[in-house]
Amino acid sequence: MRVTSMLADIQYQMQQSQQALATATQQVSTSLRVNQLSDDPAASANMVLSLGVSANVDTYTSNISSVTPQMQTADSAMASIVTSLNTAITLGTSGANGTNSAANTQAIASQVQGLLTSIVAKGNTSFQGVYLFGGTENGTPPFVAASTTYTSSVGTAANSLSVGTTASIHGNGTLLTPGSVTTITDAGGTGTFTYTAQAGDTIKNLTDAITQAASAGTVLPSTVSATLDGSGQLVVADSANNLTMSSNDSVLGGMTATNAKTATSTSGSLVEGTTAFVAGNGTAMTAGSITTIGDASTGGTMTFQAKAGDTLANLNAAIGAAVTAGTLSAGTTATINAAGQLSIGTNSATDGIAVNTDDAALGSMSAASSTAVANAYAYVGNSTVNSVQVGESMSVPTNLPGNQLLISGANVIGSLNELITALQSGSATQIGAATTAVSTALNYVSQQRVPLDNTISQLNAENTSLSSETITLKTQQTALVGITLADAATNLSQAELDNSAVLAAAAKIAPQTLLDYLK
Amino acid sequence: MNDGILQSRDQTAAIYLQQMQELAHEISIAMEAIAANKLPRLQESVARQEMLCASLATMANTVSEGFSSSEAPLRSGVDTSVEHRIRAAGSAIRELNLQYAALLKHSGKSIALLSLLCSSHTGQFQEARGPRLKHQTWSCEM
Amino acid sequence: MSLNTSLSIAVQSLNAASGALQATNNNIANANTPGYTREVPILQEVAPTTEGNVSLGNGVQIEGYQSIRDGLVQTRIQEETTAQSSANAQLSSMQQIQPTFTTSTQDIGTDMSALFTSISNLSTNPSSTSSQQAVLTAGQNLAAAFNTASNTLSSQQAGLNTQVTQDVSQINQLTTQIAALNPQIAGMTANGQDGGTLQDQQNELVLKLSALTSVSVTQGKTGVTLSTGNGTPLVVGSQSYALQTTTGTDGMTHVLDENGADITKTITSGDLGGTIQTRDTTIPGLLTQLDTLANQFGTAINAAQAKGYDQKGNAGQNFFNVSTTVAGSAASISMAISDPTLIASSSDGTAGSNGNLANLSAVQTTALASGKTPANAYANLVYQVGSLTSAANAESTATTSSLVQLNDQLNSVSGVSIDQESANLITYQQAYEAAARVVSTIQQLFSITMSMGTAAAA
Repeated sequence: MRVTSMLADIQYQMQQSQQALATATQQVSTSLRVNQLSDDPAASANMVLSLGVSANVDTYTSNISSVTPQMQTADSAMASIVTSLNTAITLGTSGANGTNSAANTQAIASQVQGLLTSIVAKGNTSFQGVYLFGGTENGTPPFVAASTTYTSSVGTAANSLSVGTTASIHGNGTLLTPGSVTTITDAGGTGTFTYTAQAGDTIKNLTDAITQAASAGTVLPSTVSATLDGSGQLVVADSANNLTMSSNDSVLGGMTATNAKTATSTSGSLVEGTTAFVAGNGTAMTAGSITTIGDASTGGTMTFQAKAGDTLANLNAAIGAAVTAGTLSAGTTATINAAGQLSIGTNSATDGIAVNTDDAALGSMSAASSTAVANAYAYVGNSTVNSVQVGESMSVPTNLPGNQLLISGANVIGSLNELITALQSGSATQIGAATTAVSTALNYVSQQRVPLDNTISQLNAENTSLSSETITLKTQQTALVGITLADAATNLSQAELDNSAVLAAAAKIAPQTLLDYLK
Repeated sequence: MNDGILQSRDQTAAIYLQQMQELAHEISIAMEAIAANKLPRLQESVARQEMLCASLATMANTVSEGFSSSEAPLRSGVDTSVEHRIRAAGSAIRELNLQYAALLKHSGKSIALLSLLCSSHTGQFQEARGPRLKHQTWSCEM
Repeated sequence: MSLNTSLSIAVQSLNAASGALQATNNNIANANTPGYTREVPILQEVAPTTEGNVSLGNGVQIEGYQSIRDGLVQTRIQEETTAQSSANAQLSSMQQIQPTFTTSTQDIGTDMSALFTSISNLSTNPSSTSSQQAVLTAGQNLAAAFNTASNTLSSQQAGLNTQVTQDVSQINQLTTQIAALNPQIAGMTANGQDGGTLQDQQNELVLKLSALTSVSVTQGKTGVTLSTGNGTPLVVGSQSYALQTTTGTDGMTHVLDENGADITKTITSGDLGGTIQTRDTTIPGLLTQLDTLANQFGTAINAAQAKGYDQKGNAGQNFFNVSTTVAGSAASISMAISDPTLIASSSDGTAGSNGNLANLSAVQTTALASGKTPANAYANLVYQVGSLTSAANAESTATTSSLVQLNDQLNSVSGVSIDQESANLITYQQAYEAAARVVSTIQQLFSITMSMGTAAAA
């Protein structure tokens, strides 16, 4: 036996048993068999995948709990609509029995009106800020009382001018003559300010250039300003220094010195034959904005999404196309009024529309006063259905478009409108027919509930399935990398025993070796 | 009738686990034997490893049928904790086997060279003068 | 136990020839000095003796064989030391890299999952600001995870550059010392003097050098001649040849020979070789995979964004800033949007539509250009890192065991005839062959065991 070799052997064994001890200790404290990738590369890789699946299962579960209350709210709104329709039928039936007085039928008509209002209100149910029956246009109430005229809050300039008309235009828009030269020499500045008009330049470009030079403060001092006065004349003034200004542009008509510090253009108001740039149909719309027009008579909805470069002219063209297609009633037009506002209207007192927009160029659209059409509602949502994934290969629709529910199909709103009109007219035949139509509408709404109820059941079932899948995955993950406390403890005891044995052996061998060696 | 099959499957799994653990232990013993130059011990261990491998291979099918499948685990499955331990033992064996294979490679090279030295020896050694015979230039066919 | 006491007992009880006594005294005094080669008392002048049942046979032959065998074992010790150092260098690096690629804590895989979770949550209420913000946060976390992983690998490389410089400096110190000893040793041997202690010192230095790089050792009349594995001279006689380092165009520290020729690629073992291997091959390999994943994932998400509209009805913009070249993608990937309304959830331009979120979610289940889904690509990376670490660990353990075995052999006397020794070695080889066959059987058995039932997720 050699001293050096024994020590090396002992050291080696001690290293091994200490390594095993460290591993066993780590396993006890983490409950993991695999504490670093190298402990089991394949298990580690599989963990990545298994954890990914777990994360998805958790997401599906969370999605279910998000959409379920939403769908239940929609379902209960529909239940309420069915109840109201039932009441309407009862009222209609009693109204048709021919024994009512005129006052009675009027009273019944009012009640039905009340039911219509409450049904529309249900159609406008919202849940956490989202209108459930608006399709994906769900930021504002989808059912709007119809009027014959809608107007934008933001005004644009008039779009046509006749000979001799003096129009107050945005004078800044007046086109300058291309190539014309305008100069300013100011005692408070250095050199001469010169402006040569390019094709397309307006007075605004000129005044901007003057303002810029003034703020730069070199050629023109900062005390210079350029404005248009009430007569539309260009006025350039220096509050502190003398200046002289001249222009060969006939649009300005030349500049005259009002005083040593002020120059004014000769021309102010529009001269016949001058080309002026006006906004109007040419007003640019905001890229990405959406403008919706719902028609209470046709039940249709037109949606216009502006692209970059679109102007009101494009919107108008779209309206025209929608009329041709029958989405909007014949005679629906868009014009710009004297105040420059966009006005959309029908040409019949009984055809109503509603308009919704998010385009800042228009501001907001509102019904012109006294243009409301009684008992008429238009739909300004859309028909798009969102769906949400709630399982590996399971997605559910999460909304029912309101037009599908209350307009197309059996036209709930339309049939109630008819019933009200019939009651107001007093004709028992008409009332009877209208009531039958409402009955049809009720069946239709009931049918609409079925898929929704089915989906809600499906979600519940899926939830249960996901719970058990979660357990399966956790079990799988434990199998991959986990270790039970009992097993870890057993490993640790074993490792401690082995370690003690090695240490004891080392203690015995070390002192003996030398003596053995010397024998 | 079913229970009889279930029991024997559970028993088989338990034996499978035990033998896997033994196999892991044997690999450790073999590595220690190599490090300590204890040939007989190595030979014994390799023989035991061969036996264990044969036994495990025979049982593998039976045990595999009993492992939990992706459908909801039925009563007839192998006890999951045994399943865990079998996988843990498998993983330990993988790691030990890697070290074992590497050790055989390295150590095998030493043994092969010594063996060649012996067989190329024809008594032709050039010995340096003097009391110290520490270093000599030698060569042999490899 | 006092060494002195034992020594005095030993001296009194010994009854040996003076040479043997001197040798034994030396042995005791130096027993624990590393590298001290035990001297074999000269047997050739002694008549053939019998020890126990073994006949020593021809003393000269045994003596010659013994010291040549020892020389071979010593050479193997050097080789294994080189291999061990290389394995340890690689292991050390991999152990520092490994924690970045975890499976469940702020790692790339977990953060990718979290991003898809936030996108799916958003689908239940696409105009919810808090849900939108959660998507941005998840995107930010993922980008940061990529950045961190990339930085870990790069800073490893930087550290390894320093290691290369240090190793080369140590190599040069050692070769200088070794060369200085050569003339002294050669001189002593020529004069028939005892050069043993100096020889032992030199052996120890050569062993230290072996730890740094693989060394080819030749004994000659002028002492020991050393060169690197591929022939670059290190020590010839009293002359040592210094290596140099320089920063290459790739930003890495390169190793040059004395004439300035770049020998970096030729150094394949020892601490220096292991360091270079990790720095120039292993880490770049991992970085490429990481960069590819970052680049392809970011691009796929951006493409999905482009298919839809944001809250204002405009076409979706890039979600991530992704480098145009694959290289560096993981380090540079960042969020391109910070406004929650820019998430392109809509498929029809309305703020309430969630139709385009399905396209974003689809990135999770669609194969990237590399042919793998994002999760599979990451799992692959995890497997690689784990396997590399595991392999380095196995090599480290194996070479350590191998060294224990070799030191055992060096310190034992064979004491049997060459024929017997030869027979033993052949038996050993057969045992190894049998063991190797069992190794592959065990490997198969492992594969079978791990694929039982549902061993892994799809």
